[in-house]
Amino acid sequence: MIALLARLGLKPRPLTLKLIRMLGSMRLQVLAVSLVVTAGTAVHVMMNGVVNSLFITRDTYYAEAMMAHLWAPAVRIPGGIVETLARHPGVARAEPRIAAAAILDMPGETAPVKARVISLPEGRQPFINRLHLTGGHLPDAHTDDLVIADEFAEAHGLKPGDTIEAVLYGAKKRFRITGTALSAEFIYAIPPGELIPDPRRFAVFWMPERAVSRAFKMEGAYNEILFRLMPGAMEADVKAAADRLLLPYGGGNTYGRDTQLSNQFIESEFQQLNVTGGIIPPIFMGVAAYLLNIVVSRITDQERGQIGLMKAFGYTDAAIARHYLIFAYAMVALGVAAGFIVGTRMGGGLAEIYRAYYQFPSLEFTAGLPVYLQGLGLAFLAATVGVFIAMRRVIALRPAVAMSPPAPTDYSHLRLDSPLFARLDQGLRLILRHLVRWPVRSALTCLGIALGMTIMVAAHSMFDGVNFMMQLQFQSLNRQDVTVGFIEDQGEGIVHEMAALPGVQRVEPFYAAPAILKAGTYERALSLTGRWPDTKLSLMENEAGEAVPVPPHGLAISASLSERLQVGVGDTIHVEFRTGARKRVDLPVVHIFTTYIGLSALIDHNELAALTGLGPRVSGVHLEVDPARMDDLYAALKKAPKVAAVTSNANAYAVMRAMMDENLNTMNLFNTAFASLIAFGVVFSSARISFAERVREIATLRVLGFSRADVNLVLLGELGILIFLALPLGGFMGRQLAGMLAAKMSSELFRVPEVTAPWTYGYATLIIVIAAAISGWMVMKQVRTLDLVSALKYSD
Amino acid sequence: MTRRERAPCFEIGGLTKIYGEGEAAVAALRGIDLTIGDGELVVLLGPSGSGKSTFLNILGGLDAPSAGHVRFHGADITKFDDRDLTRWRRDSVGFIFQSYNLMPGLTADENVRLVTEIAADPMPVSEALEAVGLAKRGKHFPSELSGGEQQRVAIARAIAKRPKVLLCDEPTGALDSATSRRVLEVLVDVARREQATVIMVTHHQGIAPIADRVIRFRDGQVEEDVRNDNPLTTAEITL
Repeated sequence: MIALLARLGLKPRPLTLKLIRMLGSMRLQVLAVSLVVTAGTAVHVMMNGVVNSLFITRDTYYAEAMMAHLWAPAVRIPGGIVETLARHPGVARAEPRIAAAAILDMPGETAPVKARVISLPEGRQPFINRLHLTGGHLPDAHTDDLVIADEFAEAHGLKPGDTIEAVLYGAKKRFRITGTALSAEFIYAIPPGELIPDPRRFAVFWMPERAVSRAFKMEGAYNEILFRLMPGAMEADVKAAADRLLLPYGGGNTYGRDTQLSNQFIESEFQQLNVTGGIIPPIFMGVAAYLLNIVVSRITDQERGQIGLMKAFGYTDAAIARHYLIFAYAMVALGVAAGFIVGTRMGGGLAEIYRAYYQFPSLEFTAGLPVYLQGLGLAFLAATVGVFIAMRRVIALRPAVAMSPPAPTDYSHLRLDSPLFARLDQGLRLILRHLVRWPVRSALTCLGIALGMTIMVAAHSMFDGVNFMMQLQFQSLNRQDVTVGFIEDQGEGIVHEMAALPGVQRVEPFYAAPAILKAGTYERALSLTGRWPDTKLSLMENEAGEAVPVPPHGLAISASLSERLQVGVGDTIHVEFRTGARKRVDLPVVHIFTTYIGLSALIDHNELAALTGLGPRVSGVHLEVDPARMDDLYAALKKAPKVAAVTSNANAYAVMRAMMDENLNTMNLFNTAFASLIAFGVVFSSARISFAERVREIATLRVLGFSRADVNLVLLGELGILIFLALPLGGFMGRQLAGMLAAKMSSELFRVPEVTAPWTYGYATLIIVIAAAISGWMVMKQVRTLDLVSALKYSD
Repeated sequence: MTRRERAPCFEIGGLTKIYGEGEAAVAALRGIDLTIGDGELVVLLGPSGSGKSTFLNILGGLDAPSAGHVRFHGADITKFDDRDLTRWRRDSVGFIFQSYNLMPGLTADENVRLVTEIAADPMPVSEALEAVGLAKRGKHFPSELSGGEQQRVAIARAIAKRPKVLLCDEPTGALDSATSRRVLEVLVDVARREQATVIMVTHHQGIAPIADRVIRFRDGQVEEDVRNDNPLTTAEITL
């Protein structure tokens, strides 16, 4: 470096030369600090950059697509109502459409594929929720051709001109595809009740209004109105007006983007990324500040004579501090630069993962200047804090004192005369006295190592939590093989029809009655689920793992709903039904059960039948099926006219499992790398500092006849103790952080259970111990090559 | 056996030490040939850079020669590997340095115990501290002791293993004359009592009369090797 500067004809100042040599002579520690800064900056850029990218991409997409602000579904809306609502203050445009469930019979899929069919205005793009065509063209208004969701087309290798077989309102027909498209309201395309997009088994398609209304017998009517609002319009006001006007037509549960399924998932993702991006980088930077602190402490201790000399020459304290600050900045700059590159690449990789699950016209990773500047600021703040704390002591010394050799470290207050201590050998005494002589440093080292463990445990607990949730939801509680939803609510006779289908061993019906649930100032639109007694397939349990029955009177609600409405057992929920007689009743909360997916309220089906005034109705059934006859059942369901949706529990589990496995490995790799970096950085730097500080002691021990192993034990025993203490501390902190992350990441859609599997602690411990062992080994190498003669002389 | 007929402790032949290579090479020792007898008290004198400390370091196994041999009771220590050297230092050699090199985290008592715990035939810690007149200062840490006291603890630590050889590098270099006299008195006294061979590097001419033999170094060679049949006591010398 110096030679290079000379060749370039540059004559650096003496202090600059000293700085360059310092960086060179401490390259391993420079590397350790830089790597930790790299990790922190990279995570910061990646997480916050992805949030930025998603945010900008989503908002741009929403703006271009004229994404709806409100959705007002109903059963059957006469056309005239739309005009009335369009004139309501604050409404920029109201557009009606028909949206309904359908099933597709796709080659290669034994199970019927769930689909959502949406009407297109005659011969044109809708004004609201415009489609982004990715191939072909919109269908002609007078045909029953269709445009199909791009990801579904890709998953099945479909292209414009191909045909698909769909069952619309019980009638099976073959339709021609004219184009493929993306829709802003299906960026995260899942049917209600599911969590992970499965483009092979869920389709959205758009057909001319005339064809849809004919198929669903909706001529002259609609079942949904979309609203675009004026800037500054009161959303709640429009929502109330829509609810009021649509109530007689089976409406009354208008919702905004906050509960629009796709948007809700995107928001939830922002929330998760923001939480991770807000918590993890500061941990890294805290560790970096600590490492810089001990590195600079060591240098200033070693160079106290030189500092004294510089002071004697007339250098000001500020000039000396600046010198070491630049040294720290140089280390941080290396880390930040690498962090920007790594973070941008990792962000690109993360965006790639998001592209697989989120259907945007394009999603490019663009972190944006503020994110990079924040990363830079965070790292340099850490460096400044670390250096100033380190320099306080040395700067305070008078030149003459600084230039004379330091007095022996004072241990006089650490006599530790207890009989127990007296039994220890001298090596152990040295270790213990050294530990307690610098309690803050020992505690910080311990904390630093513990933070490595914390990151591993917390990150892994998220996966443990999801695994636990999947086990509970898919295997323990929901034991049905297949759930069938009907195009409209059926009478109880459907149960016998279903039981007669091939392979069906057990049928458990349920009825979902749309309602608004209110408690105090809290409210939530939700379907009350009527359950028949003695269910064996779909079960509930409370937090203690005890079975929760559906009460004969009153409600059993999920813990998530109880939190949302702020009610507990014994409280009352005001229920406004949006079906049947549209009764308003107060129902007591009798049980609270645990569920990690969505919100849920259960009621006895007889009570529900009485309350709605509709008698016993069935919206769907859970089926237990003979596995050998599953294909026969699917074949029968594809032909069944009343079936709107078929969900296989095993498929839903497999899709989620596949996503988990795919992301688990990547995330595991990152977390392991990051945690190892922290552990390695802290242990190596601490061991290296300890070695530098105690090199005379080590040399003395060697001269007195202690073997290298003895000396290594004295040197590394202290770190061993700190690691031993750090592991349970890190485990505990990891659990706490996991709890905090779980709470902050939980949304209405799902909650992450606070679970940490025992092997997570084991794995984290193993990684920390390996990282520590590697850094220990590197320091032991220095003991092996220690020059005893020069180590025993004071040098300054 | 008279003083002149001592059995050889060290037999040194052709001992050479060159630091650096090529044009930058500096010869610290240029083929030293010496025999030092058991129980001898040898003072090595010479100006800075004359090679006396390098010679002492090689004798103690802290440094390796470029050429030549150092036989200790017949065994060539320059051929020792790290394990042999460690054992040899542990059992046979006591070091005393100008800068004491005590462990700051251990009390005086514990600094001595550091050695007695690993030596083959150590003396009781109390006896070693008693021998240097610090029996009552055992519970004090180095930071609580004066320079002279610290050096006496270093002597106690060195003699506690009952070493066959005591290697002292400027043991009074950092002390005032009164303290130096006290330290030398202790050093000579315990060395004689333990019949240890003492090789002491110093640039202080005044110390020479207490030795059985004075070897003067210059430019890496032995300039003068004088035997002293009537060594003075530390009380008789002028410091």
